[in-house]
Parts: sequence; structure tokens; C-alpha cells
Amino acid sequence: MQDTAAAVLGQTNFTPFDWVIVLVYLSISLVIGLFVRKYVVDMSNYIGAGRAIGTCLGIATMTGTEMGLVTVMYSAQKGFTGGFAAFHIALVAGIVTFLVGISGFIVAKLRDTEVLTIPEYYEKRFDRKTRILGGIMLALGGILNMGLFLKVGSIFIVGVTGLSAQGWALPIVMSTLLILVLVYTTLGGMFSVVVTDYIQFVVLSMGLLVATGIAIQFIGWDHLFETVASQMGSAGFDPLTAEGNFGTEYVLWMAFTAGLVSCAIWPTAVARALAAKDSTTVRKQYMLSSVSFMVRFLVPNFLGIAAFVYISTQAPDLKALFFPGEGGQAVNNLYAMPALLGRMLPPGLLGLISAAMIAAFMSTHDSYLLAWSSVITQDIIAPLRNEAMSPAARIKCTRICIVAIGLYILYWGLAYKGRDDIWDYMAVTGAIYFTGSFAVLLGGLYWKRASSTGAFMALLSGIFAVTGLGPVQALLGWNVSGERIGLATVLLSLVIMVVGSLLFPDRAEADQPVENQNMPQLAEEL
Amino acid sequence: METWMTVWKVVFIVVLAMFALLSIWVTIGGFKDIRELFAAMDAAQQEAEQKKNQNP
Repeated sequence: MQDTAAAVLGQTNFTPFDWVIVLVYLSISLVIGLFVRKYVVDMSNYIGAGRAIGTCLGIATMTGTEMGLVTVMYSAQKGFTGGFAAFHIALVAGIVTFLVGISGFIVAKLRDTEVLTIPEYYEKRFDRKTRILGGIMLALGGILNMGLFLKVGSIFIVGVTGLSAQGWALPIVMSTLLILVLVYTTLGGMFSVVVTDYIQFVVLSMGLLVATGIAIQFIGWDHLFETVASQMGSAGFDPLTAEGNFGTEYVLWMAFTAGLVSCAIWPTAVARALAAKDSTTVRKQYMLSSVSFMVRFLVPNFLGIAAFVYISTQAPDLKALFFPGEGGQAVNNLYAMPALLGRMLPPGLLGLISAAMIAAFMSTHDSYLLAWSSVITQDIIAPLRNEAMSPAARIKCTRICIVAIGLYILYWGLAYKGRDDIWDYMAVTGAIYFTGSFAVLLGGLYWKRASSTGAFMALLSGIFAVTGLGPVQALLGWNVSGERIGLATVLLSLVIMVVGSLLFPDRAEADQPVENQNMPQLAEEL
Repeated sequence: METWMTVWKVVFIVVLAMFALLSIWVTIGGFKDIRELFAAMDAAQQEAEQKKNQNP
């Protein structure tokens, strides 16, 4: 970063008092991680919190996990570049989550199967090889997906604290936060995750509401809308218009990814459903969480819009950095929202909001680390071993995986020098898993003739999603939007699941005489 | 554009109001859930220890 840019971005209200607030908060999280360690006696307790989470705690922990700092940063970026039209992401996410709650689509049925992870369901419904492949695809997509989390989260922290001028700050912040997360996740498992998620929900919800109120007062309600209207035109409000950043395909893709996948397919969200008391609790939790699923996009979108209006109309020094005119190189617009918060919020409150954001950062990391490492242990390593693994060995293996993944994200965050769009990177890496998984879950839960071969092929077809990446498209000579590739991969997986199941039915079903194949269903009906 | 502007104003205010109410409810209810969770885990732990003592 150039010295001038660093000096301008270094102007912040963050004081030593704010550091004290942040440090006290982090210390409390660490102590909780150590305190709940005594409850971890088996794998069910470690990754499912003993399956004893009530509705309110379920909502808190789900929101704490899904409202991560990366989501906040990415959504603020969308608000900064797309204006109020970006609100459609929040709206579709909330509506789809509410519909999943009412219907119990996927999640309630999955909870009734009593499994701990999605790949475990694959084995129960299909076979062991589907479980192992499902685990590999999930771990691959998931770990790649969180590869830039640590760096993006740390950019927020150094941005809001004004440390971005110091070259040493980013790696130090990344390492410190990673160590904290690793300590309490490896020690306490899901117990420490749900308890700290609860505290994080309280701090985060209060912090976001207060920050929103201050932003409205600081910039002006009418001024926000007038500026977006004058600078972006109808594209700043209408998400369906082809002139803007979105369009109909994008809205559909958001309904699938930000809506259905986020709440019903993505393992960190599904883990909350599987840890709930029963399927009735799951439905209730999802209906009520739909508000949180909207807010996690809506408020950061709004803060991004506020940053756009503030920089465009009230901060000429920042405007010169973010909109330098022809020939100039603009500063990464991820810094816009932290820059606004650093100048807008008074000391003390800035510390509280920063603690809330760090809370969001940590709650995502702990859940993701636990999710991917438990998948590697439960769904890849344990099924591949000839001998049975004891609960103690499984917990130890999960802890080793947590540390290994933590080291990978630290390495990747420090080594990765690209300036890719975070959302493109995340959507493509995530799609490797969720496109195939959607077809397999849908077929497995709702179609009796779905076969293990069909499921295996559908899971593999998720690899097609990598063609949405810019470098891969350049190699292939394609120029197709990420959302189009994503929707095509979803359709492809569904078709492969159906065709594969019809062409290669499972042996038990294939051996049955045709007239007897519907006997179990008839017996159930009788 | 005016219609979309009104839609987003309404969505924003309604969702924030709902979230404020939800936050209060979850804060209170979540605290009760945590107490119940720990009580259940304490009971399970005691039960496990009793079984261990009975069948050393």
C-alpha cells in the first residue's frame, strides 16, 4: 500500500481504550473455551454439543456463525458497488430460509435421521464410498472456501484500528487471532462454539444496530437515497435491470446460494440443525433465524452504501483514493467500510463495534474449523481405517485437523497475493461441494429410487463449477458469468443424479422383481 | 425507480425492527438455554461417573 493511502486510511478514532475493550472481550472467549472443556467426553458432545441446544441458543449460534466478518466485508462491498439494489440478496435469503423453516425442507428430514454430519447421511442412505467421496468434496470445497477468511478479516481489523500503515500489523493480527480461535475450538469443541456464539450474538446484534443508527444520523437518511439515485441511477435500486451489477440470473443464483445453500446445504448451518433437540425445534429455529439471515446481508449492505455516500460526498481525501479518475489506481474497496467506521464512530463505541466484528470473525472460524475437521475425521479417516476408532482417538484426530487447517489458512492468507473478487472465489470453491450435495440430499431424502452410483456421479459433477473461475475460463477460452456456470452446475448435478440412478440402480432394488419394488411404500401406507 | 426506493425503505425499517425484537428475545431465552444445557451436561457427567464406579 502506498504511504499516502496508508496515511489517509490510518485516520481513525480508535484509541487505547478501544484496545482494552477488544482485549477484555477476547480474554472472556478464551476463558470460556477452557471452562467448558470438562464437558467434552465423546464425539457427540464434541461436535454436537450433546444434541441439547434449545431454540434461542440455536438461533444465536446460527447467527453468530453465519454473520461472519467475511460476509460483512463482502456484503459491504456489494452495497458500495451496487447500492440499494444489493438488498435483494438479503430479501431472498430471508424468504428462502423462512420457507425452509415452514416446510422443514431437507433440514427436518436430515435431523430425523440422527446423523452427525451430511456425509454420515450419505453412508446411511447410500454406501461407504459415497460417504468418503462426499467427505472429500466437502472438505476440499470448504477448506478452499475459507482460504482467504483470515486475511480478509484481518484487513478489517487493521483498517478500522488504523494499523494498515504498519507492514507488520497484518501478519501479527492474523497469527494472534488464529491462535485464539485454535485454542478454544480444540479444547471445547461445539460447547465452546455455542457458548461463545451466544455472547457474540449479543455483542454483534447490539453493535450492528447501533452502528446503523449512527450511520443514518451521521450521513442523513434522505441524503443516502438521493446520492445513490444521482450517482447510480435506477441501477442503484432495481436488481433486475440489466444495466446494473445484478440481473435476473444473479437474483436466481442468490436465491439458491444465499438462500437455500446457506441455510439447508452448507454444513456449518446444517450442523446447528443436527445439534438441535428435535425436528420441531429445527423448524422453529429456521423460521425465526430467517430474520437474522436477512440482517446478515442487509446491515453490511447498508454500511457499504453509507461508505459510498460518505466517500463520494463528504470525504475528499478518501474520494481521491477510491475514485481516482482516469489513469489512477483505486484502493481496494474492501477498505471503504472499515474507513467509514473508523471515522464515524466515537472512541469506546468503536472498540465495542470492533469487538463485535472480531466476534463475527471468530465465531465463523471456530465453526468452520470444527465442521471441516470433524468431516475429515468422521467421514474420511475413520471409514478408511480397518480398525474402529475410539471416541478419544476421534477427538484427538479432529483437534489435529483443526490445527492443520488453521496453519493452512494462515499460510494461504500470507502467501496469496491476488486481488480476486472474494465472492467469485468463495462461490466457485463452495459450489464444488454444494451443487453435487444438493442433488444427493434431494434425491436421498425425497426419492426412493435414488441410487449410490447416481449419488457418486452427482457429487463428482460439482467439479464442473471450477470453470466459473477466471483463470480456468481464460484457459478454456470461455467468457461465461459465474452465476450462469453455477446454475448450470446445479442442473447438471440433478440430471446426473436422476440418470445415474435410473441406469445404475442399487443392487437390492435391482434384484427385486419389478412388481415388488413398491412394496415397502405400500406396506407403509397400509 | 421510485417504487424500488420505497420497497427498500420499507424492507430496511421492518427487518431492523424485527431483528431488534428478536435480539432481545434470543438474549434472554439463550441465557436460559445455556443454563439448561450445562445442567443437562452436569447430570450426564454424574450419571457416567456413577456407572463407572458401579462397573469399574
